[in-house]
Amino acid sequence: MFIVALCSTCGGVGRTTVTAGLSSALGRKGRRVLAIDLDPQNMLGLHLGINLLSDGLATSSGDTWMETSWRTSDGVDFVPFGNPSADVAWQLEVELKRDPGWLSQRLSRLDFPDEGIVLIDSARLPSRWGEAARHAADLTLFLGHPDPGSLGGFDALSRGSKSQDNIAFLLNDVDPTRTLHRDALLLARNRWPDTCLQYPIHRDEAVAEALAHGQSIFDYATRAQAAHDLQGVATWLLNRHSMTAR
Amino acid sequence: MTLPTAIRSALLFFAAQLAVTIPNSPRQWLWRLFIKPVCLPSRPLNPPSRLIARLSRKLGVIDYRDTSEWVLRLLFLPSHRAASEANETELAPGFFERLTQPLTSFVTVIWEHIGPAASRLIPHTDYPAFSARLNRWAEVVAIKHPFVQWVLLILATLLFTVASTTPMNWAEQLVFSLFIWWLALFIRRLPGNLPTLMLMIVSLLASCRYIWWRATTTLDLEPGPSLFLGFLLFAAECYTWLVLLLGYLQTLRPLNRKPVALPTGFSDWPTVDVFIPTYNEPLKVIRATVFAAQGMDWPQEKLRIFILDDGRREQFREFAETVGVGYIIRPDNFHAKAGNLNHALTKTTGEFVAIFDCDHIPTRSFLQVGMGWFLKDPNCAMLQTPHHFFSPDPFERNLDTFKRVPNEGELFYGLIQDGNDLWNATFFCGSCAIIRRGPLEEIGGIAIETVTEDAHTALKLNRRGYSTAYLNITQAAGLATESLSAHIGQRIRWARGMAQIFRLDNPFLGKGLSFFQRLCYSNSMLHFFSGIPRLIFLTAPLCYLWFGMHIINTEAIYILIYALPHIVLSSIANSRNQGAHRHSFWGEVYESVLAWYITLPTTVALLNPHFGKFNVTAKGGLVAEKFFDWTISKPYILLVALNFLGIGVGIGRLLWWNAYEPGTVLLNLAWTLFNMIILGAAISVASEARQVRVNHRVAIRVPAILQLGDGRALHVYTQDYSLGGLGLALPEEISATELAKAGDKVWVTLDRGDQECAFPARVVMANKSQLGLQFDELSIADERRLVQCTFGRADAWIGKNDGRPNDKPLEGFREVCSLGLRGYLRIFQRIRQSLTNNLHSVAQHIVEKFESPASPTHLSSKVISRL
Repeated sequence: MFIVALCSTCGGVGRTTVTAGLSSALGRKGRRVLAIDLDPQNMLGLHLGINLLSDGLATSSGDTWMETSWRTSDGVDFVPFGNPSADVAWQLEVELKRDPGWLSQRLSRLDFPDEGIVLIDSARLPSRWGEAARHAADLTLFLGHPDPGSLGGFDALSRGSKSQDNIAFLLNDVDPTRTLHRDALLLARNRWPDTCLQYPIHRDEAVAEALAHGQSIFDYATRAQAAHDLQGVATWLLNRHSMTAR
Repeated sequence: MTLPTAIRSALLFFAAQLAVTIPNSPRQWLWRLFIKPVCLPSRPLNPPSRLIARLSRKLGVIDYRDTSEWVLRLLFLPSHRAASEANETELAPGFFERLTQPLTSFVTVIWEHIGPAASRLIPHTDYPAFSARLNRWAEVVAIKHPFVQWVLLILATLLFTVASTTPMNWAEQLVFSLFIWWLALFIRRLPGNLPTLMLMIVSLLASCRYIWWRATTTLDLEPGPSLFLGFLLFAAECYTWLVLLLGYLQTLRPLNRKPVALPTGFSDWPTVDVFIPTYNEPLKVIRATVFAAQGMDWPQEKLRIFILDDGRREQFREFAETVGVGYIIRPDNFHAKAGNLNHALTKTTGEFVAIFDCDHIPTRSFLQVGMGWFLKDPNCAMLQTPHHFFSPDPFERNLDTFKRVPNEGELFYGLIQDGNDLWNATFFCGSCAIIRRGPLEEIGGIAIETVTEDAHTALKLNRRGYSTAYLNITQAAGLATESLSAHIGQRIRWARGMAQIFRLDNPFLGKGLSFFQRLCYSNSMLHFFSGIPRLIFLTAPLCYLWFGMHIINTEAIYILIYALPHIVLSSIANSRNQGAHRHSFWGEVYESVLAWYITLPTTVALLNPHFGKFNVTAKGGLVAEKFFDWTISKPYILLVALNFLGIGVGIGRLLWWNAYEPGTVLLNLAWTLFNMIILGAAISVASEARQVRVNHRVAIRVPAILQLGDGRALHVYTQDYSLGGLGLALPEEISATELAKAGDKVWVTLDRGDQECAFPARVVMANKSQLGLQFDELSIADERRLVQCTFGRADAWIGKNDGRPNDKPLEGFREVCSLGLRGYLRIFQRIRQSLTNNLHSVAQHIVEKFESPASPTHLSSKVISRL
């Protein structure tokens, strides 16, 4: 089981979109994929084509959380965050403060094949949810926009982390027609050659169009640049997995 | 009156060609021939049914009523429809094929029958294993027992001498020839370098036997002109024999040098000056070269780029200033390019000098790939990389062989330079090379004594004991010469320069060279003296056909059984040795075109090496209209006429005057026919095809992002690109017409290593799964990025020869034959065209004279004047 957390230090960089896209891509490659929504916004379902889910990780107790899972047409097992009452959510945050390994323990008790991949869409950092996801993950994929804010976040992360082995940076929504984006991409690649993925995800209207049509991007626009980029990241994840497994 | 069927069908065929609808009417014939030629697609006579029409078209039957033709096509000469050819449109569709089909089909059919039969005679075995076994034996002999090696070498030399000098009667020689031919066919199937060497030995055996036999038994000629001409022919044959021998030595074992990695720290990397000499080329040509040079991966503070402008143009100075490169001029133009470079040497200080002709666009990796050898070998003074051309040269364009048949220069850059490199005799070729400043200054800069300053400079460096290197990795590309006359002009310069070096600084004389270096240099110079021998071969059979002179004193059968093995085996060996870089029989075409033109310059340069001046190769223009270069082909048309008459006389000799020696007549006729074919091919090169694009497009597949106006981005691949625009190949399921229409504004993003660069463009063509884009006005920065993302890519020329068919000797022969025929067709066509055009205008003039009173304008003016 290879656990990947998708985090970010800024909001609105496309964590949920990328989690949904990656899990579909991996599912289509025939892998067992478990996508977990660990963001109180509870939006991953929408991106995977399953809307308005009130039961989920946050509303179930003990090991019953897997019973709230869904299977998408791309073969992705998906656990929503759920729509807990304010009290329940508060209690859960207290629980997470006491035990950051809360999610790891739940996952370790899961009967999931070794070659399976778990993708966790977490709330932005700093937050209890994000910390829990990082704690559970073998690899934390930090998403950012090609702008100074995100790059500043990457810089802080790479300085703050003891090991660079379990973090990776991924730029999303890159528009090569913009000078700032091109320069930011070049800078990120050169500054963190090992940590930053060499292939970014490009800005592509097809992503939003696919969501509006309630379709996976791979069905909606097979040849979209974003679809191509997501495929590339998925392949990169698989390689990374087989390398760590070895 | 009834006509014989053959004449009748021929008449009907011509009637159809000329669109004469009533063949019985002489008036219509005259009308169509001289006054109003109709260019209808030639159609065979209207057959009674569609089925017959289709069948006859498929089989190539011209007249469906001619039974014998059906039989011929069905049983003996099956139609072999050639792939569509670009230049075909100028001939009536199908006309050309119908004429060449019998010949091509004949060769194919023969081969189809002989090929399998011959291959049954050759032993079948596990060839790679056999070759490996041979290699092991050779290694045992070579390494473990040096004494045995010497003994074997001496024995082999003795054996070879005996085998090539033993006189044989015709039957013995026949058996011997068949045996070594069979041996060659077997060796040919073994992979590896050792079997190639063995093939060369076998071929040399046949050639040595031939030349020995010629020298010892065939030169007993009657005094007078035939003695003189006979020795002339023999000298020409000795020349080709020598060139063959030296060629084998030169390409014995190509070195295939690999790049050496540079040290990881930039501090050890030397400083490099890039020189881009120019004289009269337009700024458009040089821009890309400068931008690409600026993109070369090298520490910026150690890389300086200079435009050396011998034209002293203000526009160039401004450009250099704008883009931030150096600009060097001098007060005079002494010694042309060499002088220009030498002057720049005095103005700069870099440890190394990289030289690019102004139209050779380097890739970003040029210096990193090439510089490693200089750091590894401190004695290395010069490193040359291949010259690659992304536009078709006149041969490739006019014969439509671009990317199908290796061009003229490829043999040199693909094989000969690599062979020279083994003997440390790599030439400097004037561009796409790096030279170490120290040694260059030591020999007094670039050589100025000859018009091929490059080769002479390398020779001087080698004489000083410096080594020169060749790296067969294409790291720059440029434009080929535009027209045949420019191409020939360039070759004349090379030929003259080489002859000058041969006179002034003969590699066989003087100090400092090893034996093999002398051989390599001499062979490359000898190559340019091929003009006179080639002309001798093209006219030799005429001595007999015209004047009945016997210039080879022997019987025809002997010539056949001695000369054929010599020709066939050297073809086999050369096809194996150089097939990837020169297809069989194409050398004859390339050489024949040049033969006439390089004869005089080389001879003059030999006699007086200081005569004449430097001429610049014109590039970057284009042939606006297709035309036939009569001036260039005049000498060949004369030769054709001589040969044609020779064939006529030869037929007379065969039937009446020399009926007692049919073998000799037939042999000379066959030789003349072969010459005619080569001459025809040489002539067909002179028919200049029209060029349409100003920016040459390079077919290359690299990923790109296409961003549409509505924000969608598509992952696509390029089909081709130029500095003006690019073609995109869309995935099958996407229709270009739905995606965009002409005039739409889009962005296209290419990558350059870790950098992405987007360029604004407009759609100019949307067709099925193809999209043609034209770039908007680009800023200097964008133009630089574009050059660096396209022509300057490190991988730009990696797959340059992908998809090119391999050499097959018979296929090469077939193609040259069909080119020869095409050459004649083109002449006839041009003659007919100009004839009808002239007559047409005369006729029109007459018609106008008669009809003018009735013409409306005239009438009205009359009316007006009356009023």
